[in-house]
Amino acid sequence: MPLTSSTQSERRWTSLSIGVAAWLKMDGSKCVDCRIALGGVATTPIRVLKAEQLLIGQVLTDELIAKAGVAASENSSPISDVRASAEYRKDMIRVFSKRPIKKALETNKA
Amino acid sequence: MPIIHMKLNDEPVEALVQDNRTMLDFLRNNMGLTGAKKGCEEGECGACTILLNGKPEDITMKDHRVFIKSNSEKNISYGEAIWMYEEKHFGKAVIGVGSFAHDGDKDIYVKNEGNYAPAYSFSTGAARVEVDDETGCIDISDFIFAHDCGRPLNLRAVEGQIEGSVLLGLGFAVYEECLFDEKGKMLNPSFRDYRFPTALDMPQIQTIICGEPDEEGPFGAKEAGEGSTAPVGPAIVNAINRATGLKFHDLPVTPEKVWRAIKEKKAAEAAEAANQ
Repeated sequence: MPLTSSTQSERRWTSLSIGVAAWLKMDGSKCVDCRIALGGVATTPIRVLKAEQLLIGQVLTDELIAKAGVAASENSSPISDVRASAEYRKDMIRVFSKRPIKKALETNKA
Repeated sequence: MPIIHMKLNDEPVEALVQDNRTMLDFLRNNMGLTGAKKGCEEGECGACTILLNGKPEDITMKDHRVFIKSNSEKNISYGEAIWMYEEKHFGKAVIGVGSFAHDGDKDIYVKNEGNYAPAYSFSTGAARVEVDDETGCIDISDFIFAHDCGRPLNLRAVEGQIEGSVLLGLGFAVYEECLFDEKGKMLNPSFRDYRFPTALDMPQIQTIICGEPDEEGPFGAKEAGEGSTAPVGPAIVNAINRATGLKFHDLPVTPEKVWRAIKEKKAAEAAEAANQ
């Protein structure tokens, strides 16, 4: 069973420093196990279990991955500060959560 | 004060000179030949265009080359002339010191009226950007910069100035922002929070150096410095406008501003669609 993982952070352009790491265990196109961790959105790194549960046991489609991104965003509560507003951070968690999952799937194919 | 006799540029000269005055000061101040520069102080190579007592050979400068007056065909480059001089004088270096100041109107400094500079440079720029519509991040993939600096005295130096200008312009257009609280305390007083572009953020830059030599400037040069930062911001922001249809009126255009504007635009479009 192939394992694959990927991280995504966008430090280059923004002083906002959100880090997302995704780990997937695949059986063909079906997701057997999954872990998604967020950094820089709370006082400690957190795992978003609700987003993980959405993916486990399912065939990963773009729609499902987008839903997992929304779930990750809804289950975190970032703060507003001089670098970015909470609103922006929250939407970026959504974007940065779905991208590494897609990237992990892409690297798995290779 | 002694009286001196000499032949200056083929014309006999008789003048009263102070005892301690150097030949260079005499030529510059008494005779008004300000083309003579402090360098070898011998006037031997003729580079300063003054011929003392008919020496050296009658030479003239034209189109960045050295000509013999009696033969309009025979000429050598500056480099060759200097090399020949150094060879003849056992490696003695040719060193010149010069400066240029525009003898313009002093009123500009006192009354704020008149002309600031003898010549003004012109420049324009164009950027190719990619905007991430989810994060609002901007990636500049290409930059073309055309600058009219009259005659470029040193091509590599002008290119360096232009590339530096693009870096500065990129900084004020998309990165650098001073943030203050209501009491005036700076909120981002470190290079971690006050961001500016690094070498990694630089786009590919193509420089075009164009324009005619200027009549007023030294050797036909104009400027290649501060003025060339001006078109960078507009080029980037116009490119963002072309890509997204959004207009930004305050710099820097940070990812969050782009993200918010895209979100507002989408909401407005959805509201319009719902009304119809």
